[in-house]
Amino acid sequence: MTVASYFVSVVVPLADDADILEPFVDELLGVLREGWQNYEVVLVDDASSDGTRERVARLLERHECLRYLRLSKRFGTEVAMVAGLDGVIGDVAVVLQPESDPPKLLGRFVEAARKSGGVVFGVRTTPSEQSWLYRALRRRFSRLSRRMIDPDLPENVTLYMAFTRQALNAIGQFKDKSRALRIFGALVGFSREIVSYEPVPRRTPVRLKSVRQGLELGVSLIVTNSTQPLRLVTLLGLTASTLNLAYLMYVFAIALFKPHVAEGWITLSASISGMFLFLFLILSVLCEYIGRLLEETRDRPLYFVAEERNSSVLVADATRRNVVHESA
Amino acid sequence: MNSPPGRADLDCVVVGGGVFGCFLALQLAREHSLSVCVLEREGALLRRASYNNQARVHNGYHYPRSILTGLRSRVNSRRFLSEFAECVDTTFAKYYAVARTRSNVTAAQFEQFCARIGAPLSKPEPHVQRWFNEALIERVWRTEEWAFDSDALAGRMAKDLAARDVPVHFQHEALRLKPTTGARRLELEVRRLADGSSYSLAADHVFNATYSDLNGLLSRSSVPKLALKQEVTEIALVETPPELERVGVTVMCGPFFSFMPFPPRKLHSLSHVRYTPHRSWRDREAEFDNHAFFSGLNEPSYCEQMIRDSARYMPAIASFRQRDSLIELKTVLPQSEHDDSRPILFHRHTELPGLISVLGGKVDNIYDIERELSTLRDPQSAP
Repeated sequence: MTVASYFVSVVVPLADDADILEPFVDELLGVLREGWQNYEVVLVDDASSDGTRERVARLLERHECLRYLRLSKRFGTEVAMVAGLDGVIGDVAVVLQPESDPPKLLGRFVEAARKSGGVVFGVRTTPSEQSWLYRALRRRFSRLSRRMIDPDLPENVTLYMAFTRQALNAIGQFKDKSRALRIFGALVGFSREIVSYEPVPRRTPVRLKSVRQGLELGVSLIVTNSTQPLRLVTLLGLTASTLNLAYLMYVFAIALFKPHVAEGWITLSASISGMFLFLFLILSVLCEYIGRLLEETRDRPLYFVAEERNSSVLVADATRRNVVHESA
Repeated sequence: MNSPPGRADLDCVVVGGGVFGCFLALQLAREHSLSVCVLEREGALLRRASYNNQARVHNGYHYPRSILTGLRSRVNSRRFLSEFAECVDTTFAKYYAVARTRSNVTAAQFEQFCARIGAPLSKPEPHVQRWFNEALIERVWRTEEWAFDSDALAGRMAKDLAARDVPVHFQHEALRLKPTTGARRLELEVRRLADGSSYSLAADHVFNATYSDLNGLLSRSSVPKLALKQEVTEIALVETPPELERVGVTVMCGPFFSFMPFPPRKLHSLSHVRYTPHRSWRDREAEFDNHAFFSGLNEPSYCEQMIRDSARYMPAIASFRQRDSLIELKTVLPQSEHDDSRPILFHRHTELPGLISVLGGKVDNIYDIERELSTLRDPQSAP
């Protein structure tokens, strides 16, 4: 492969990764130097407290084309990645995690992004080394999010991803508080490619992720990105009000056709079922409105333009002359 | 030892024919009626850092975090403009903008600062507003800031020095200084670069105005080095699209960029806070000679990076075409790295009485030296 002229940016989130930082950066820069003339590496430090900062300072003295951003507190991997992506200048930007993603696949990600013109998702081919509970919940979440957010979301996507400048600019317009690169990457809609690979842990044993935090993240992702749970509540409310309506009719039928009814039963039953009927109806309508509100307040762009072309024949009829024969 | 080209015995010798050296020599000859000569290693005046910079005549805007620097800058720039009118390009429109994120100053703070130092800000024309990416730029103002033409300035300095009979010896390098017991306090050994021959000068005062070589002369003279930081910097010279030809823009105040006309080359200079400094070192920690090290460097150009990042804020920059780059050593005082203060250094070396090191960062700062010179004869009264 000849040394390419386009610009590649690589964003690496760091969270207490001082122990694996140096070999990782050396390997990454080795791959970049071989493949591209123009590149930059942005190390985003998610407020590490293990001396990452000092180690990076030493790396900055040794290597060119390195940039370092330090976040004020721990915001999470994906926010760190977004912070880096917001400032990159490349034609293609790649994000990867130092603890598991092999830099030697960079070429495949970049090529795939240039070919598709959109987003490239890394997909792991081997099961992750997290606990069985985490993996089970993760699988469950994948299935749910495919049903509720985007049916084409690939399974086992990792945070090894590549974006073209166009896709990146689109994602940059998402102002959501909970950043989910994988989901945004799918939602912007540009053509997508998948690169399957086998993660190579740099650290043994791997750091286990907390199940509780994973659950919280999963719930928050579904709630912010999908109105389907609310829609479910709407349906429930409508069902409940239909049942109440049926019961109300039953009470009226009893009042009309049954001679001996205990005193007060009809008024009591009618008022209760009437109230619940209205209550559930109102609830259902409210749910729909809350769903709309959610979509409006997210303030996401309505659409993204992937391409624009014009006809190359500019004058519709070259034989036409700009002459009139009558004057009105 | 050869004989010197002119008088061997002088009141003052100024080492370095940059803006500060020339101005010093002029002041000494004009205001203090002292005999002076200037030694310059290059073949003409103002060839190095006085030429290889953004040519900005600061008007205060640049230092929103230091009122003093801003104010001094306002006062000095007026005077510079009136005294060197023919060397300053005032015919272009200069805009300042404040970025929305990662800026050290907000639009409101910037307006407040400019009001306090009396720097004029006005609303930009609507078509100017549209040059900027609204998502990244908070506000834009039209300002008053100019660029100097270093070729014209060099010509003016040469003329003024000749009018005062101040000799300038080109391609003469100050080697080392030592104290003497004769009528003059100092003896300066000078080498002619043309033939390698050397001679010595006797003087009461030697001004070391050699910018990035300040510590070179000091260490050759066995005087302790000053705490200075050297930066290899790159300012790209670019061709702009026609609509930006008479325009300069500076985005404040963080990892952003600035471009403005560069009069001597009829191009624009482009600098970027992230990409302009290439590498740096502290003189006290460095074992090598700055100039020897610098001339051995083969620095790559980061112009493409500068254009790409700047174009995010101002898309028209994407069509800038690089024509050249000015790569130069920039010398800074470590204390002014973390704030916006840009003091000049006027240091009397107690180890070698009569030797004074002068370091300035901005051309219009030259007027801050005047008061220091008035206490020259009586160093005890110096502040």
